[in-house]
Amino acid sequence: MKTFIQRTIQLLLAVSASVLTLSTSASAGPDDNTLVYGQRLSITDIGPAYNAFLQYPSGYEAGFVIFDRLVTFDDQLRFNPQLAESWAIADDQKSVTFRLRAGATFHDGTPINAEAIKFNVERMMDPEINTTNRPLWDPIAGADVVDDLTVRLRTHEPYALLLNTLAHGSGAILSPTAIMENGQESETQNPVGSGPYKVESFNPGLELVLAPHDGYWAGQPSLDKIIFRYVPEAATRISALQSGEVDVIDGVPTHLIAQIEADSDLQVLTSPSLRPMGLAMQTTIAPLDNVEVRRALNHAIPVEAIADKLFLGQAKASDSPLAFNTVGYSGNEPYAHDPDKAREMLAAAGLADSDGNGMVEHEGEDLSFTLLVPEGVFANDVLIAETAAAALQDVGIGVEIRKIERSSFWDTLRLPVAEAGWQLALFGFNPSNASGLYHLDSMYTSNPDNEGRPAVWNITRFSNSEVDDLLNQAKVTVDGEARAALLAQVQDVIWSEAPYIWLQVNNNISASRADLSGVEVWPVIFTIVRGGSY
Amino acid sequence: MKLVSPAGTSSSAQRVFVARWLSKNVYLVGGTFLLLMFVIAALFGEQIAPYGANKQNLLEALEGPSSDHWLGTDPLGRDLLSRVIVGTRHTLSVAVISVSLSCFFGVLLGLISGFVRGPLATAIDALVDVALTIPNMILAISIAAVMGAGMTGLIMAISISFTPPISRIVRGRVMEIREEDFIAAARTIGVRPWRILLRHVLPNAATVIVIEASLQAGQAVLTATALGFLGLGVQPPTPEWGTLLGYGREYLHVAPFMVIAPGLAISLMVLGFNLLGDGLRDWLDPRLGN
Repeated sequence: MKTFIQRTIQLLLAVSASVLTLSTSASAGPDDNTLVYGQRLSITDIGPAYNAFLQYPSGYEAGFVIFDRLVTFDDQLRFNPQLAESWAIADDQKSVTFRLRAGATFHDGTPINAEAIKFNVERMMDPEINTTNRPLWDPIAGADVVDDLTVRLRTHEPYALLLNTLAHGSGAILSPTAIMENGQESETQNPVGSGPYKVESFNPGLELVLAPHDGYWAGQPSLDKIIFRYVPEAATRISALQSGEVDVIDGVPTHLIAQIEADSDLQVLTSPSLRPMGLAMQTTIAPLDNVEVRRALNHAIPVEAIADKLFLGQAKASDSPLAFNTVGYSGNEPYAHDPDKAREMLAAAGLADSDGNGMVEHEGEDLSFTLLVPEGVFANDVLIAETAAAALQDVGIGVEIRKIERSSFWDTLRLPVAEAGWQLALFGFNPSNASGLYHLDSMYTSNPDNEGRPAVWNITRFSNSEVDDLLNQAKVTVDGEARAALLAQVQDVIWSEAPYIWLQVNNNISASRADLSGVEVWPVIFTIVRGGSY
Repeated sequence: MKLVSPAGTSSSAQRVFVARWLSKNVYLVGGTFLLLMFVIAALFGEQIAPYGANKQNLLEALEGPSSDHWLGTDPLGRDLLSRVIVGTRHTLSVAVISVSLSCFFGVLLGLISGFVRGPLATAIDALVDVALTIPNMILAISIAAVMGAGMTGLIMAISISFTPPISRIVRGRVMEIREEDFIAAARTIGVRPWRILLRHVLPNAATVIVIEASLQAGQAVLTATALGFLGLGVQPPTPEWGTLLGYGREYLHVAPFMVIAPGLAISLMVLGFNLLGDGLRDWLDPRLGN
């Protein structure tokens, strides 16, 4: 029976594999003044150019520590000076003049002056170098050196979002000396910035070690070392945090918050995200081309229950195409969960159950949609899809869930209509420069070719000339209030046209050791360890 | 006078015989019993399950075992016992179908490569040798990854990765039988080779095949659920044991019952197949002294 025993042991091992993966070994704790950040995604490259922080958001998070920008956000996404002390907008609104901080230097000792800023801005304007963040930088026309510490940025038209672009991760300022000496692509593996910590060693995909920058303009950094480490499993991250192996983690699932809260050595860090989730509908395909059908589907989903029960209150039902904290947000009348109303609206739109099998018919056949969903990209993604599928089935619409590998998810979303193979898809856009205008423009401006790949992220093929006009006006409106008024109108139209089944806005949830302060969780997904200290 | 043995004596002798057979074949009996339960669950899952397998109730999400829900509920408030029972059909049919396929092809390849001499046999041998160097699990994962999540991919993955070992075992047995006197006798009287293969070789190799198939079925259950665990199993919301286990893993700290239910089901089914395989060997293999 030896083989039998062996097989039984193998079996037990296989079944308890999940338990074994949880075992962690305690190592460096907080005593040695080192901050270890366990990230759910790995860092494969650093720096704003070329693939720009290939892994999102992990690479950006490292960038925010290594680099300074002209301006930065605080955790409420207000603008604060960083390398620029002050700025002034010209009367024609087509240029902004920045006064730089005196005495700041890069990690390699190169002084930060107007020439360095001009060098960096011109790199980001170059489509060969800045390959991924084009919409942010295309409106910029050039940079002029006024004097050693004064630089002027010109834009083609009045550009309402210039500060958002400069505060974005791609606005990082790098040492021109290092790039000239080591080559343009040196920044992806060994970048030289001016932030409080500099790169000590980098093992792409595994670990990034940062050491303090002694000449930092705001004074000596308070930590001896910052380590970014890749820890993909949520349960493993939490165990590592509890054992003291790491000091900060991101991507805490809602159902595990209680476990962290129960530990007095730990604290939960949350912020409401800027990513409103929804089920994208292919609005060019019948019957989803009928706005009444799209509205009916919105009444079919129990969004409040998803926010309360699935996210245990760490989410809120949407009432706008923008998240509550996005600049320019304005609320609308929510679509109440009312299956009876949904059934009535579907019947009025010609989708009724005439053969009594519980499913509505469209053109003589039972109506059924394919719902595309990734696993592990969005919080609770598969569970949301299953809830939505059950709710739609309840009003007579069949749903076949197609779970797809996360690496092919983004591309499948952007396939031409004829090849897409889905009618519904779980999606949420994250405006990484915090701007509602950028968000709405990326998702709802008409595509040049509505049957082909979407130009940006208009995967629903939404097309509305009023929205296009209002967004074009907003782009050249520098005055914040006037722009917000235009955006409110845009949100009103999109909300009632319902290209999405609107779902929830959930919180970003990170956690850290309780004796660590200064770690910020920004609404734009990022967990920022730059200001951390014990 | 007719010799009539008293009925009592006869039946008690039968009882003794049955009891001795049962005690000798306790594995066989245990395995058959376990598998019979799973077969019933697979055939009548929806009728047996206390709730609909996909019936959600967010108000009862993540509840521990209770008199209403014996094995607790998942994050959408679905009854775990019902999901495990209804999920039996998927795992059992994957195991049975894929092992049948791998047996069919494995036996075919094994018979040819064991019986025939020549370039064809050498080619099959080489192919099987190469396939045997690739770990089963790796092969299954790659095939399932290419085919995508779904039952067809799963069955293909398992049957392809399980064919080489069966073929190798059958080949060994065939080469043994090939040298027996009765084969030589059959040849001498001019029986055609394919007839020898089917009428004389195959029946003598049947024991090995049956035993190996039942043991492989246990491994197939593990492979199928492992692929489900890795997200390569079935599309939601279909209940599948490996997928249930994979979801449960994230909830291990707050709702350990989510992994216990499917974990137990997997263990019991593999145990059933392993007991059956070992029991069949004890019962059928003359060299073990039965």
